[in-house]
Amino acid sequence: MSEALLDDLLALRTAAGLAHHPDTVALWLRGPAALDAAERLLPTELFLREGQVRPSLLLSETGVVDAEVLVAALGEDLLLLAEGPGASSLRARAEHSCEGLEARAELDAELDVLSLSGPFAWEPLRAVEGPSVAGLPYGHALHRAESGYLLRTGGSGEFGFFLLAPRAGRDALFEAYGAPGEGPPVRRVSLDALDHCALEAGNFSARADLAPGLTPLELQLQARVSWHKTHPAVAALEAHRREGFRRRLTSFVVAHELPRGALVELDGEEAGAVHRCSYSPSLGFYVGTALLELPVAHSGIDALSARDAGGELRPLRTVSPPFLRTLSFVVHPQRNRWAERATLTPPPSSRVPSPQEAR
Amino acid sequence: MRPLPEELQRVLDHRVETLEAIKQLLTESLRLNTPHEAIDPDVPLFAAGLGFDSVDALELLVAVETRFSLKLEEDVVRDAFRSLNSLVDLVLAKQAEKVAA
Repeated sequence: MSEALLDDLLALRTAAGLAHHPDTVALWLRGPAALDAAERLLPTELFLREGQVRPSLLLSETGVVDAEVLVAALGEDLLLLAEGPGASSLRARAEHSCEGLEARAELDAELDVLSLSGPFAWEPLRAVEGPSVAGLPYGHALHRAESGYLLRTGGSGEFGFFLLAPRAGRDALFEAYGAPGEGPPVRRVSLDALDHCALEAGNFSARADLAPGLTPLELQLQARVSWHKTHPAVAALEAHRREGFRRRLTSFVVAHELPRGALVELDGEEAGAVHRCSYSPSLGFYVGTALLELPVAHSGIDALSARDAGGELRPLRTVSPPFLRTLSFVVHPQRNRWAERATLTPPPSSRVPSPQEAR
Repeated sequence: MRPLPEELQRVLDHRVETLEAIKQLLTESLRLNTPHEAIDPDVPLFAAGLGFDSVDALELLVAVETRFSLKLEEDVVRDAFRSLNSLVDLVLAKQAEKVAA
């Protein structure tokens, strides 16, 4: 793990980090039938109140996850943010969904997408955006005072926000968040760091978790699918489940790094493959996910092992995510300030047994 | 896969039974209108997962205590109510404590 990534993780877990999401696609669905078009496009049932944000997925007709989509109800329009390998196809698919409806899809090339995350992210947010943002609940969005939009979401396990601003104002925004003040230093962090935090927090990351052929069944994302809905991908997923999907993403801890794709074994027999594995500086050991055969895709198993890059067989233990408790668990945005952080009692960071304890 | 070792299969059977019992509580006590096979074990109970709120959490707590004849302390509940799997971990740990006592 590089020094820069370590510094990014430290910022995200103890202060605040600002990231640029250049490949995130922002698209508007507008018109009286915008919601109908979104319902056609996405497998999730969208009961959205004004200002509400709901996570969904962009699925292929066979049910494979192509991208993660956040849907925000803003006025009479819906704003869709898509991340992942298939995000670039959002426009064409949204236009197709609008056919025959009083709705239109408009790609918003003017909006730049940034994110702000961290246990003290509230402070710079309030300083730049104004005090009204302090009451924004999780899963909600608002129109920002100057221009652009603010969404409270995040998968890092810390307080998290998407900031959508006109491209022309991006540098000014970076400058505003980077200005030293009473709040925490705000570090420019990489998307790799956010993906690592998502892994530790047991959250899905479209950038890091998507791979060919994976559906919501393997990825444990079925909560984003409405099974009562008439949708080609939902029908394909029902068939996939009836026919018997074989593997499910399961979290594990291990004392050594395991390469992606390494076979997971049970008594010498193949039981799955490593999906992600990364050192957690917060915990002091490696954490990861593996696509395991359903009979062993459960938490609490310590009979599995996988070979590291040197060919050594390393024991691993399956666990229930998230791997750690974050500082955001104890920070109250209205009461706790960065300047008084020494008065906070951080929670014990690990929620899971270490690989040594497990054996 | 070939049959699992007997001891591992026994442990997993008990875990799956507990998981299914908690899913049953979700559909009966919290009226979650989702087929059991569509409820993922690691799905978060709150927010972007199943979307429960604090009232739902209280109802689930009472239902779990009643179903498994357990008393769950407040400090462990908040941590365990992250997902079905973390709730299963807590129930299994409490059952093991009772047996040991």
